Amino acid sequence: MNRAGVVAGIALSQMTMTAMSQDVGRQSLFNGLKADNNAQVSVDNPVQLPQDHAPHGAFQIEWWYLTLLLENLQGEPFNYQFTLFKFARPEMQSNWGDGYVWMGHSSLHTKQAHYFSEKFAQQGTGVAGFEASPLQFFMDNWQWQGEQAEQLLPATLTSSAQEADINLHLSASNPYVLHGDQGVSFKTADGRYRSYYYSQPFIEASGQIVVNGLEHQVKGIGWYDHEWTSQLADEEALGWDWFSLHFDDGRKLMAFTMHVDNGDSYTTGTLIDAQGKTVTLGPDELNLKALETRQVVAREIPVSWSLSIPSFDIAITTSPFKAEQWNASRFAYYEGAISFTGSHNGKGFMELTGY
Amino acid sequence: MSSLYLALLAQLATYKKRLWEPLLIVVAIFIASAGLTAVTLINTGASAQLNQLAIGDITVSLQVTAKSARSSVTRADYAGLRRQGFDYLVAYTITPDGGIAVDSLALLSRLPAAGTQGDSGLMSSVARQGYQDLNQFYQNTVTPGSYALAGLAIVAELSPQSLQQLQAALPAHLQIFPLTIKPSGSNLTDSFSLNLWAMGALMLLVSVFIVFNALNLLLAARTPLLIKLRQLGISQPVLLQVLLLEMWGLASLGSCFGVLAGAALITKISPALSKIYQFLLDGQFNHGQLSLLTLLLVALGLSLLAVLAMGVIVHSRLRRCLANRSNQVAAFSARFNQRYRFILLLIIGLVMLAAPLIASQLQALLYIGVVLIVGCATVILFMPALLRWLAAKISAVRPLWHWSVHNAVALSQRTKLAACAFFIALTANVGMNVMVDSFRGATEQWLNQRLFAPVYVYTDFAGDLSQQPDVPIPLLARYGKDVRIAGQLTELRSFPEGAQFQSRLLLDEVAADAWSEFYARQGVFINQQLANRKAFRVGDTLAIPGETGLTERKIIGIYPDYGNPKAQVLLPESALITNHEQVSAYAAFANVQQKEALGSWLSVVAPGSRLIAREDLIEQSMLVFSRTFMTTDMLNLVTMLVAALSFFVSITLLVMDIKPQLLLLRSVGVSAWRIKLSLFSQYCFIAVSCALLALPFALLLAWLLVNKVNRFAFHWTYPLMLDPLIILQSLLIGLGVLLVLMALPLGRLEARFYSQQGAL
Repeated sequence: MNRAGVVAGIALSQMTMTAMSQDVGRQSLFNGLKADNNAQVSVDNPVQLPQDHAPHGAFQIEWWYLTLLLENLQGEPFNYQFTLFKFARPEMQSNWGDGYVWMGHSSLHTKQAHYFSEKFAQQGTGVAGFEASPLQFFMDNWQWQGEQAEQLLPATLTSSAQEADINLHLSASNPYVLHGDQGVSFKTADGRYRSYYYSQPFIEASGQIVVNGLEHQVKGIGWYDHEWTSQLADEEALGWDWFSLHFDDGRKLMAFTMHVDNGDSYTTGTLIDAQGKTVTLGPDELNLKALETRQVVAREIPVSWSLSIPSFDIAITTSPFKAEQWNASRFAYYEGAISFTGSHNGKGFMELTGY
Repeated sequence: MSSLYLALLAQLATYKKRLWEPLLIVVAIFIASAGLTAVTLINTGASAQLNQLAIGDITVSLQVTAKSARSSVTRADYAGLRRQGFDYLVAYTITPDGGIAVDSLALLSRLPAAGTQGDSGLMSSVARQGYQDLNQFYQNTVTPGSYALAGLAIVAELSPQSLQQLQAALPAHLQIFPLTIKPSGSNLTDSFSLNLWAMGALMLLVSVFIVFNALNLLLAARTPLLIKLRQLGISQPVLLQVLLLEMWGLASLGSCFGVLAGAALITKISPALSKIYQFLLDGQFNHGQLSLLTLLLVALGLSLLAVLAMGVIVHSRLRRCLANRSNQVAAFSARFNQRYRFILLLIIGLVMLAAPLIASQLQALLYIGVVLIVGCATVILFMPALLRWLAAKISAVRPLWHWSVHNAVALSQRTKLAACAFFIALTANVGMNVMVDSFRGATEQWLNQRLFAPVYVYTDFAGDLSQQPDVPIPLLARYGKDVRIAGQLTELRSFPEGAQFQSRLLLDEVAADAWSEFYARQGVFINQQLANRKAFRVGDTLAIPGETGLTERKIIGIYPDYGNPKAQVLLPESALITNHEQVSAYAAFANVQQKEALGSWLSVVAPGSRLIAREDLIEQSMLVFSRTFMTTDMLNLVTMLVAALSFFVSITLLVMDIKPQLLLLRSVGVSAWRIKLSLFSQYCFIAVSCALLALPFALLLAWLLVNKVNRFAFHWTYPLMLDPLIILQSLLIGLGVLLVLMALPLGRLEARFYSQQGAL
């Protein structure tokens, strides 16, 4: 799941973002677009795979999101995020492009440096888009190339982030995980905000990362999300705190708190066992609490969190890989690797938007 | 060959005793070359930048384009190259109306994200510069197949290796080529460039006069030597070759040093020029468009061509020199009789009557050329007559004065070329000064009227400061939005509502009951730039794009908007408060304490904001105004110097010519001081006559610059203000420069007497 895409999608409406939230000092990120002008997310039409790997033109916003926790042969960490976003912009439909804007983010963190690139392109121009057979996503020379028709994995990912070139092989042995109710993930208690959402949290990755001409053989684990919706685009949606965690015992956890204006925050998640069986966690079962904030690019960012699921005896505290994990993109947000300790140990990724 | 060599050595040997004349030629050509180099560099520096695709800080000088008109850049080419990793390529095309449509999303990827939020900054930047998005252009029946891309702009600074990689990846029908886009509405840049070239042409004209004078001087000084060489058996063609060779050497020396000096001058004033271009054209001055070596080679080549062209004149002069020992000044010929003068008066009348018919900037500049030529003809035809009329008034009872004035009549024949150069320079100088003074006065009055609040706030704050709940004093926001009206990129700006502000809008034309229509949102005020560009008049209707489509509004007034190259429409504040893209400034009616409180508040809410007092704002604006006219002032001064030097050269020649007469006067007991005074009075007499003739032409030129050149170049005009002090000052500066220079050869006169007397 990557909600920064939603932020970007709405902001692309060219409206000036001025309205200040009355709640917790967050800035309203949605302006201009309404939530009801596109296809609906509904449990009547649950996620169907592999068909739903492909883009969904009827929905307003969609993103494919991969986070990888890699190490080179010397054990040095290479934490990588690759995201493709797609936004419906019907007013841009023309004989030049077909009215869908793609945005790509590629972010690599080493201990010492952060490499980040951002791309924009329009579907229909041949510069960005999707091919079904074999499955392929592309933006310029960034490419997710599947090996089989319609199948997302196994695949080769080719991308770059400033001076870093990335070439990785991706695979997964466990099945995909559908969040919420058959892939319909509710973001608020009243269900007004919702999306289709599934993940592949058991990614295994290996390949090469060349940084400033120096090649590193890397391998590690990763998490893949795919999400699409028209029911997140609203000026009352303020942002979210989102986590994907890999437990040392093989379990996985997705958890987030959604913040909306004039409403209560909503926390939910999915606990996944080592075989891929899931348990959806409601607000009463999952507690997320910011412990420590840091000044990051003149913003107070909660970089350390406590997370507990009493029914599963989970009580952990997260720490960031680096405090400065800010993606200074056109639609800026915090995104970076974390580790956690407590009742369980492990590592993962954290995304914070709306700060 | 040996005779050529010997003759050349003999000529050069004269330098030991007579370095003055060749030095004058070198200096004259040096000044002309320096001036022309400066004009060339300014023009190429400005136009090269302005013809580049520029979005934000990104400028583009190269593109991928089709090798021939038979092929084109396709969308598949674009996608193919980008998918190979050449993601700095941005597709664009030139629309039928001369506009530019670009792939804005591709540009978005190239712009730095830091400090921006959303794509609104880019989109408005694209719109402000008159660029469309390709999606807006490729609509309905217009497809990339029916209307091809013009090229793929290379939006990056590429190393030679990267360029090679791109070159290797290009399909066979594509090439890398310099990008020379003329943005829509580039008539402004063209106009500015044309103005500068016109000034360059003026300098060239003046420099031609000076070179002719220099040639006269050289031949006059060399006559005895040339006769001796001819008597020694050196043929006339060889003498001609020697003279031309020497001239080319001198011209090359002068022009090369002139080029270096001109280039150095432009390097020195580049920062100031950048500010001028930024202010006047929203552009940049980009120094270094031409290599120095190229300029030097061009200067040498042009010197050679000029010397060859002058060979014809030198040839005839040489024949006259060798045939006639006498180099006396001939009496003014009566060939320009009353009939010619009548025809000239008729032409002047016709030229005056044609002035209102001027309909473009090029026509206006050509008309100025005609006015100057007619003016020169007037100088040539009427100045001797004027002098003769004055001479007739001087009684023979005062013999020295009588001789002086009559000699001045005779001198006017020899000085006519120099007088014409001086006339042109003086006319241009007075005309420009009157124009600039009128502009300054109009701008100052306009600023004083439009800036109604004691304090103004300029900020990059993204929202509307005036709507912040804790603002310490009420702020009056100037809301803005850029739209297209009748195909013209136009600024919509808010004007505060309230009777107290009505007098703050200076209006050239206004409809009856204008303000009530304005407040009722039925009428709008437009600036001169929009009115002149689209020939709008008060009472016409405008279709203004809004949230719900086009809205028709009546034009109820036209206002001056000096210094703004863009078209603008004023709407009531309430029409833009909820529907604006930016707030350009805030007005605050604050006293000293409130100003401090506002400053403190701004430092917290909108750090980096500037709080400027009205007086400081006016002062800064006028400072920018002065800087803007620095270029023209500089060129004017150089032109004046060249003209004065031309006159100076002529005077030096005349001093040589009338040497026997001066010796005669000295021998009859007239003191050297009185002779000097008499000579100087003659020069003054000619110069003042020239200035008197220049005055009406200068005023006509000022009128043309304000009402025609300015009107077509910048789409605004202002009232012509004739300040006698400014006119007198301009005339006196011109005359002063000339007379100081002309006084120099007089100092040498005494030494000459003594040397002549010693020889006797």
